[in-house]
Amino acid sequence: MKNSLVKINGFDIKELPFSLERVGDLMFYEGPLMSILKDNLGNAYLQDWVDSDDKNNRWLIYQISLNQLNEYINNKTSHFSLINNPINDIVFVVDKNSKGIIERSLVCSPNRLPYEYLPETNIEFEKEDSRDLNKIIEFFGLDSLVTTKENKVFDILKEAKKSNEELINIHIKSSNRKVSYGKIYSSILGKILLNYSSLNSATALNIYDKTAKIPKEDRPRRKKGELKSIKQLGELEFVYAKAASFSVFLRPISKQTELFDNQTSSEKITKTIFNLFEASKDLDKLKELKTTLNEGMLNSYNTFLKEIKEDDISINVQYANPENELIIKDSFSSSTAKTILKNLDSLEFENTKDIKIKGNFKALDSLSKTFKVESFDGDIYSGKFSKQLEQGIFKFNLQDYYQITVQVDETKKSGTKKITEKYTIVSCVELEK
Amino acid sequence: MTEHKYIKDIDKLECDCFPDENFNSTDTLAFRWVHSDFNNPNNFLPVFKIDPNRVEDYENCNQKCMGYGLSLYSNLSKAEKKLTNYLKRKPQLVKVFGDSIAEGKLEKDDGIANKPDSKSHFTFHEHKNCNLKTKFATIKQIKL
Repeated sequence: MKNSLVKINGFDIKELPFSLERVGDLMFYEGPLMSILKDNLGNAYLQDWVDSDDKNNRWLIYQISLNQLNEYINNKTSHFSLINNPINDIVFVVDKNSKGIIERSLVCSPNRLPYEYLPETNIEFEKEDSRDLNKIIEFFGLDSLVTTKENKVFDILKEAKKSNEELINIHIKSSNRKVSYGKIYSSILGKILLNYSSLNSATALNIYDKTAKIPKEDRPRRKKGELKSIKQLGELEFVYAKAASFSVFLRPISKQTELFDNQTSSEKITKTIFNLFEASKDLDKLKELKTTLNEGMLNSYNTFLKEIKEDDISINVQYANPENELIIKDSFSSSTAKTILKNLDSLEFENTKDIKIKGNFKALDSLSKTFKVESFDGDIYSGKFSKQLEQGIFKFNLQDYYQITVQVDETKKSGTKKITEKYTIVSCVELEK
Repeated sequence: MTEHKYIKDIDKLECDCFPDENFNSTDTLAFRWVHSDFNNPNNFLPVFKIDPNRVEDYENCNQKCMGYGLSLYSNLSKAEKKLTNYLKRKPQLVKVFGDSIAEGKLEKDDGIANKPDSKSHFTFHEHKNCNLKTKFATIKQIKL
């Protein structure tokens, strides 16, 4: 192996902008490999050995918060997370010769660090490797800090009260490089926002689209803009983002308040979504709730979870209404998402219903016994003729109008995401001219 | 009494390193982290011989005396586990510690050792004429 230091893209600096003093070592083996230093203001810095050549040792020096330090010592966060989330998002790369004299120093962003300098993502602190750990705890007063397994999430109600508006907060975390302090891969952020918005929109339709619940043959024509205004209730707008790991705030664009229960539409939509979140963690509860959900909600929820699982991220979702001080919270890790996806996949579903259509055939095929029909509403149906009718296909034509009864077989099998619908014409009577 | 291999260096530490009641002659199987190139000169050198300036990193005489001893393990899987863990934490440590494990049989005349800790690690001080390179051979390379 050629013994040279890995090249790093950064800005050379003449000297470090601080003077540091060692407090203790978090990793020591035949010498310090990871030390905690303090500046003259008492801030904590990590000095991490990363490389060496024949002349120099290379160290990364970066400031970390006391919470980060405390969480690392208590195995609530990983070394990888520390190195990727330094305060001010900068890392000093320092090459020191064997006498400890700095030969070169540069500053760079953590995402400029080569992969050879990064620990594996799940590496945690090991007490037995440390030296003077008590000095570190004592000096920084770490024993008085409360550790939490998860990174802090925002006080959503406090945040909502600032603007006196309902707010939804989606807090995204990951143990990989895709999400770090104040930064997120745009592909991930895009997918999360899109998937949550789709779920919100499908839920709005599930609650407010009363017309969709009427059998198609009896369904009145929709009023102009009816569907659009329902969809608007489920529309969210991005308000702002905060760094920590990555947090976005959304608010409903429009809302309506129902007189009898004084609930806003967005509150109702969010409660329905959170009911789904909660119920889906248990297969029996999910089966019970399923009867009240439409296909769109289940499909968009499926997509939402799939991305969490595939991108190996975890998400906290919070909602707050400053009017009634209601807060609802839930969270998903990639492993919870995986469990819920299994539950969703194991929902077996079979349903048969008849619908009556008035319209005319657009295609008839006596060989394959198939049809395509357009209803007066402009909906197109295609499928097969029943055994009883297939011999008489020649009696039908493309000019006349018919009252057609179509049997719809809806099925959803384990392991599939979508409900499939099969259409079979069981009766067809020509309408009087 | 047989002389320590690095007694002249130890004398410069101005520490009362030996005799140490925790160190005794030993007759045991031992494992050492080595470079994949078995001829790497650092394979059987104590840390202070590789880099004398490292003395500054050690706070007291107890620790400083250890700097002229070799880190060995009494258990192969524990030696392997620890090295694997270090290479996962800091991949470039392969330049310092290597990525292989060598096995050798220590005999009483070779030197003195303290008792292995819970991770099977112990420090071995070589006697003047000891040459561990001839006693050890690589048995395993770590694959991450």
